[in-house]
Amino acid sequence: MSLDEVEILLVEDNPTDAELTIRALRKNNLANKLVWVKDGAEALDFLFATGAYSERNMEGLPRLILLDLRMPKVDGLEVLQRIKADERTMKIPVVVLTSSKEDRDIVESYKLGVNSYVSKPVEFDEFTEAVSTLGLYWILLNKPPE
Amino acid sequence: MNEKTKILILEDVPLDAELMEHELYREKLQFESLRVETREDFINELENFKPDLILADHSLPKFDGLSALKIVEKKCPQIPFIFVSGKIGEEFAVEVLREGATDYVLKNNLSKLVPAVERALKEANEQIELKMAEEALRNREEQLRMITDNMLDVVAQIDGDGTLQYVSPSVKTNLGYEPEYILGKSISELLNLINSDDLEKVKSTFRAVDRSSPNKLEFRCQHADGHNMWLESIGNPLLDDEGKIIGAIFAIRDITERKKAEKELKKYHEQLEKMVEARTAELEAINKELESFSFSVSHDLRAPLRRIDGFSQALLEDHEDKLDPQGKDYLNRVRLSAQRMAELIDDMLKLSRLTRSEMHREKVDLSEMADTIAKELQNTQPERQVEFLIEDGAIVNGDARLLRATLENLFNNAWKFTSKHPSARIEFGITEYNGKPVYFVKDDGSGFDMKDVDKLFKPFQRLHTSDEFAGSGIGLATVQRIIHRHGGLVWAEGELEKGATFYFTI
Repeated sequence: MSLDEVEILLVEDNPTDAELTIRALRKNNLANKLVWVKDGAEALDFLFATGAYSERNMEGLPRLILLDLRMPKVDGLEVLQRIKADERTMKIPVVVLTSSKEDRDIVESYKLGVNSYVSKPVEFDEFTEAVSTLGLYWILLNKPPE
Repeated sequence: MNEKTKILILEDVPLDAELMEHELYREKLQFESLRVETREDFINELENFKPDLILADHSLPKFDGLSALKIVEKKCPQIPFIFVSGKIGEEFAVEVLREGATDYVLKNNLSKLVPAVERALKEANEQIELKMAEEALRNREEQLRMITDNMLDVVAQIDGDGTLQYVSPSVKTNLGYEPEYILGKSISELLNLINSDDLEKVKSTFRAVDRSSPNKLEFRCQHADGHNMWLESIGNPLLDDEGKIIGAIFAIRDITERKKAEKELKKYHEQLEKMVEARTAELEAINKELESFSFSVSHDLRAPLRRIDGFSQALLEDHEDKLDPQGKDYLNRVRLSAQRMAELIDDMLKLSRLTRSEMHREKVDLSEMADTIAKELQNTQPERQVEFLIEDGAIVNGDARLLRATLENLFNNAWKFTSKHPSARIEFGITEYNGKPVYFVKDDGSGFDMKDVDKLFKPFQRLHTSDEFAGSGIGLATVQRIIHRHGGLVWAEGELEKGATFYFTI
């Protein structure tokens, strides 16, 4: 898989959680063109082809971003804000994934223009279902605006 | 005048007296008269007859008019005295008028008698009225003086030059100075008694007395014994008929004690404010800490639970062939425990959110709310035989969202704990305690033992096992927190298998 044909960008600092999310996506064949970055800074580097990803072609943008909110360095809300503020990336659907059930995170995410919000349920079946539904929705059914 | 005028006639010739009386009758004067001709009789009748007017001849065989006049002037000068005489020289006339006679009339010109009498009576009347008015004024002045003399406050009056014309004796008890020390002094001489910090204030207020009235001022002043005291004075300008200032009156009060109390009060107030501030800051900090604690609980405790559940499932799915039924059962129990713990965390967060969220008080119809909740409950299990009795008119002032949570919890409990009975009755009503409305939710379900009543409202305290009745044990803790936040009370009564009643006030 070339980094220029990525379908899903998973931004998640915890490798265990990342593994579980990827597993949930894989069950629905959504993990084939997935890139996992470990924090907000790396996510921004990837999206804007800077730093370690400066070789990447800016044209090839993911079709969906799964974003954890609580991350070291640059946190999820800031990443979200940067994505939605930039014309090149603002159209990419962003689904926020977080353990948090705090209202303020949800409110803040919607203010910044998040497309969906998944509060990760403890029960894994539920989580699998939620992630898969959202993934399928945004990747397969929802054509990005040309 | 309704009463007859009493006229004493000093006349030795009865015919002359009759002529005078005739003249008075002719002019329709209402009178009674008495004639005397000796000094002795004259003096006696002054006492006994009490004449309103005296008509006197000039010369009598044993007495004379001038002597009579002198007696009257001495004994009762207010009685008008008219000479009625045959002939009277100008010199004599001047003399008698100087001696105090009211008038004189010549016997050969008696037509002048009645006007003279009437004039004399009128003047005498006016004199009396004037005297009475003067008397009243004097009494009033006396009263006022008594009031000012006996007042606890100090009253002082100054004239236009600022010289003290009057100061009430209370200046001694209040300020320690003898009134004589103050009287006659000018205000500027007394300014040195005033605390230098207040001097300008006193001066400017004093100057303002002639412009605005009344004029109130608080200032410090030195007591005769040297100690400082607080005084309050109210000044009013004294004006003459033309509105010109001719002085001022001050009422001065010792407010040292009041000032002391005010100072103390202010000190306490400031202390209290500081305490409140500190406490508020403390509470704010605690609240903030609690918030971040809840946040991390929400986030950090759930994440590992999800992993436990997730990998247990991965294990079940990916390595199913390597697990015997017991192994699978263990893994399922691991998953159930993780899920149960997640529920507990969620409930705990809900409870803590209730205490933190802002209150929005409004008019809330609890009866209507109870009715809706009852219908919702019935819809969840239409097959159950539950009779709901909801009393109308429970209107309170509170946070609708929180009160809804309260009623939901109480009704859910009633619904839950009546579920083992074939039919049940759930009641919402209003009663009264100490004159205040008390609301209650009553059921005839499984109830509880009164010895456990204290455990009811403690979070995560449960009186039943999960097998008997499901629940996490925060429902009543939630109710209690909400009611307490509204400043109300909540309590319960119950009996095993007879039912439970939960009361609350708002």
